[in-house]
Amino acid sequence: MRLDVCAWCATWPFHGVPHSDVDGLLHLMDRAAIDGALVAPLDAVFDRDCRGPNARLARALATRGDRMAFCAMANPRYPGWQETVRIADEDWGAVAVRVIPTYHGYRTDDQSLVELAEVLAERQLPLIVTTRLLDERSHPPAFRVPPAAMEGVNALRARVPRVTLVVSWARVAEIAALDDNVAVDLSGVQGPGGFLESLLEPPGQRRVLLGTGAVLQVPECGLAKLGYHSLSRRQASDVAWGWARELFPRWGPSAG
Amino acid sequence: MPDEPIIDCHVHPDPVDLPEGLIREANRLGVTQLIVASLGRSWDYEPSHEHCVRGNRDTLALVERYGGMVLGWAYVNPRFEDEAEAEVRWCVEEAGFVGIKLWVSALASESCVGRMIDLSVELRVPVLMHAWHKATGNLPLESTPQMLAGLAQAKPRARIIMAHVGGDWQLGSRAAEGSPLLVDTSGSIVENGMIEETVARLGAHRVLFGSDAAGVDLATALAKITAAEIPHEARRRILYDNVVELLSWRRQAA
Repeated sequence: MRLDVCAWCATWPFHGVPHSDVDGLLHLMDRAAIDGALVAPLDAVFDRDCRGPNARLARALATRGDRMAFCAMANPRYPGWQETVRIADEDWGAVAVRVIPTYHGYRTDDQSLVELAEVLAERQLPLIVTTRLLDERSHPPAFRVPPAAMEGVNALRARVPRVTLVVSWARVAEIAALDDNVAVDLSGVQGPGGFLESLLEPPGQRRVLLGTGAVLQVPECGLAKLGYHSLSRRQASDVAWGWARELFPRWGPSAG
Repeated sequence: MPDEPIIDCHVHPDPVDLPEGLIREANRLGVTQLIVASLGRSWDYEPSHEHCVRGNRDTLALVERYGGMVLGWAYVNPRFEDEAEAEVRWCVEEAGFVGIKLWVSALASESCVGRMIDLSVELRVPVLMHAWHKATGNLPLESTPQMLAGLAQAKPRARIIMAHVGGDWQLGSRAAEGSPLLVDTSGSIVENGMIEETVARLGAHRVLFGSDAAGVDLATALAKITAAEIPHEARRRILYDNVVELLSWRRQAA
């Protein structure tokens, strides 16, 4: 079983990305033998008002069976975000809510993010904080967006301990700066062989989830991280699907 | 994984030895040969000549230790022109290294780099040269893909491999398009479409598999190639045939 907690759909504005629509993502999932994906609308990254992109993606996913679960986007600095979250939850059945602070122009220690986290805790919806979407060296010259700061995430964890919190697309050094009780996905983790083992030490302390970053990244590259020779079967299955099942209880049949 | 031999043309020790885990991963993944360049025992963008020589002796020790599994790049700082030339000659002619590695100690547009390229043509060995176009700003002596393309156009008989497809692979592959540059796929960038678009622009005969291990996970780097939606023949070329063809250049002379 493989559950990808970091997948995206829609057009990327800076260059062509193959298979970037819902059918394209399904093709990538088939190719990589990924059973289920938690999918967020990529166009919401560039739209301060996430409601429209959420609705478009949720409608598209609704006709494609249960392998792709809807992950809503939210921007807590934009008016009406509470209603955006309510619609995503009650009308579209979102499994989680994803934010991308630096693209939407706020910091991870922003009070608005605390307020969003409190709302999500009340609704029992996990919050995914996206650190970046591109290697900083590869940004378009007039569109350089810094990564989200981990200090703010730790503070958020402390202020809203009830919310399920996952950090997405962080680097190894950034993950090391996170409190142990913040879960992470692997979409942004690149490093020498064996880095995943180091993230999993000591056993059980850090919850690490499979995230590929598709459609922006090659999903097989994310899966390759699970194959390292000295990773135990239990460790690999926890990362591949075990933690996802635990942290995203609303995830449907594809989550097994 | 492909049931055919695979050569990784871009590997570094960490910093002296190849980690045991990397060798085990290479065996697990079917990577049959690693071409290794030591960048010395410490991180130095403008290394002394002695720093490079020490690194090359470390590479030689790995070549001898791992038999045919490990081949060596001769790493030099081209700014030490005469010493660098002597070191390359020794590495290639006496120690059996397969080519020259240049990193970030001189720009591709500088004459001292041109001298190393001329030497590579004389010795009939390829040159693996770093290039990156960084939105965050390059190091002072870090070449861009455009500089390498200019160098390759000026030295058309040379076989220059631009590492990392120039880092920013869209820009890098576009810069390489009008030149005889080869590219390797090494590095941590795993963007969807990178390999397919690079092959479409340059042709599979100009693309080589590299990982940048031990700093980059070998399995992740290999997955970029094995997952790419390209013909089987193109994949074979990238994973093996192109490197074999490059290495045969010198053997043909012999």
